[in-house]
Amino acid sequence: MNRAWESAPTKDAGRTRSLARILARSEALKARKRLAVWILFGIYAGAVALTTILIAKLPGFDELPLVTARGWTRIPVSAPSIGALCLGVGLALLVAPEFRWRTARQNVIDGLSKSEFFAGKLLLWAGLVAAALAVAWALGAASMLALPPEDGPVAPTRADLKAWTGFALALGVWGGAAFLLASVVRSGGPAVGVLLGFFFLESMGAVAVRAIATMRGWDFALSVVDYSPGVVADTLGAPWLYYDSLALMSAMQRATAGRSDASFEALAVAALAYIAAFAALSYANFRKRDL
Amino acid sequence: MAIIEARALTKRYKDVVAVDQATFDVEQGQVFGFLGPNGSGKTTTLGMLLGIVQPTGGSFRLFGASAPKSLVAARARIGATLETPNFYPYLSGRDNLRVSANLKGVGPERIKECLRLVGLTTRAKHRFKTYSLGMKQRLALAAAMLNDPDLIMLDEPGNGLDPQGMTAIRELILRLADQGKTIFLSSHLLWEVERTCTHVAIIRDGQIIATGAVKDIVAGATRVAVKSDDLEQLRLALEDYADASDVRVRGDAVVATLATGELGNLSGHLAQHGIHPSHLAAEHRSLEDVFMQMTGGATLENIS
Repeated sequence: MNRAWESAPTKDAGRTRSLARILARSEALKARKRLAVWILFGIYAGAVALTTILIAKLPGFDELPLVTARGWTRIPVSAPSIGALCLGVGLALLVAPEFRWRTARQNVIDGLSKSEFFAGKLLLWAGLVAAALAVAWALGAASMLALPPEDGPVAPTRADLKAWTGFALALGVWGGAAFLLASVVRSGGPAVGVLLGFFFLESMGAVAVRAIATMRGWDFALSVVDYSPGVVADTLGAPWLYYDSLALMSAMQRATAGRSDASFEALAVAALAYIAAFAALSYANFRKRDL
Repeated sequence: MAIIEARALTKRYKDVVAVDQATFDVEQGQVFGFLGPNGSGKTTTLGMLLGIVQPTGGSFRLFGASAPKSLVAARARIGATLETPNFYPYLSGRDNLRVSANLKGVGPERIKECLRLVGLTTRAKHRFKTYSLGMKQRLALAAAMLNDPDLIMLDEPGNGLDPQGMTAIRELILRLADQGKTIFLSSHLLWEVERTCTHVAIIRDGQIIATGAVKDIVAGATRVAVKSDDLEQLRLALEDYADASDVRVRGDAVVATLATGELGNLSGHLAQHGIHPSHLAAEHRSLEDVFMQMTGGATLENIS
């Protein structure tokens, strides 16, 4: 009975496409009308624009730690971290009330199944990640037009594309953590507080564990720390992971800090696993409750 | 044709039985009132019928098809709100309806029409959180009507409405009923239910204790008022009368409900007790009287 009770209607491709459109339209309408979203995107865009301009005006900017160093767009190294922060806060503020207000119930009465309602929130998560990437790309591209490099922009390299993917995954991990907390806590403010607290404590804990593990030669502990969610997101947003010119410097810094070497592929798999786990845990928590 | 057929519908939360074997039918075109004190299981029953709450026993059919299989198709023919009006506080009334309309596949013209029907056109662009409770109720009704449903289910639609608002909602419900819509509503406003509904079910402690046409339920027993010099002796005599129930002193009279409505027999019974009443008359019973009697004298404040 349980299965049938929550089952969605027919699953043909046409209905799935139409449903995706309906859900996307609803989520876009709601997100557009939230002042908090505009404020957070304003802060994010302002910070990215400012650092992009500053970096572009500095002599020898090609040597600076840009995420996409010489491609047809510049993205400052600050973009992944501030983007992740703004996205996490924005998503927590947007999603938490959806699970607290009785609007979830009304959405189901109006025709959605519980799973479809949840899928709408996943679309919101993906949409905000895409919007954050688009803002960074647009600002970087605009800076290339306004302040072109001396030898002109070059086509994006494989490293640039990897950096973009890493940026997106870093946003996805932070968004996923925010999404999970929002669905469990069901209140925007506390969810943001727990999210920031978690990542702060995680980074502090990582420093402490690295110090102890390095002294005692606990390689396993170092690996665990390197693959904790915040560190994975942080590393995926770091330019040294993608550009050889920065890798050597970074390797020295990492060795000093007691951090093990990381590969993009391993980090990407870890990030995808975290994203899937955050979504699955959120759904499990949502599904067991009556609306 | 039965639009809703509930059979032994049950919801159990661990040791608590919220709804216990509820069985009732709602026929097409009926305005069906669902009455019961706080915590009696009304909203849980509505929730089960809407697929929000999963039943732990029993079954129900909507539009002749068995749920839950039919729920998705049935929802397209239902407009409903459950408990308080459930809208996004930061969106305007119109935008809230746009969200609902999007899910129901309804266009902007219908939104405009529904806003007009509930008298919210001029406030449509204001945020929901600035609305009075009455306006929120009217918006909920507008949302329920969006898809021009065959069945409208409303939970306490009269809550927070002033007399004019109440009249407007009642007229709207009656107009919808005239169009052949079936209305299922829970309400604590018993006189409103009596004026609006054709049929009722009364639920207490999760059990349906009465269901039928309002006129039949109201006429099912006779309420009498008896006056005499010694009210205490009169009360005891009435309590001793087999056909009487719900015996109470009210002002300078004792009132009771008679199962048979035979005043002559009662008069004889009182005479046997040496009582010659100065006043003995049947009273018009309201739905409220019946409700009080059936729910054990729950006060109006406790009813929702």
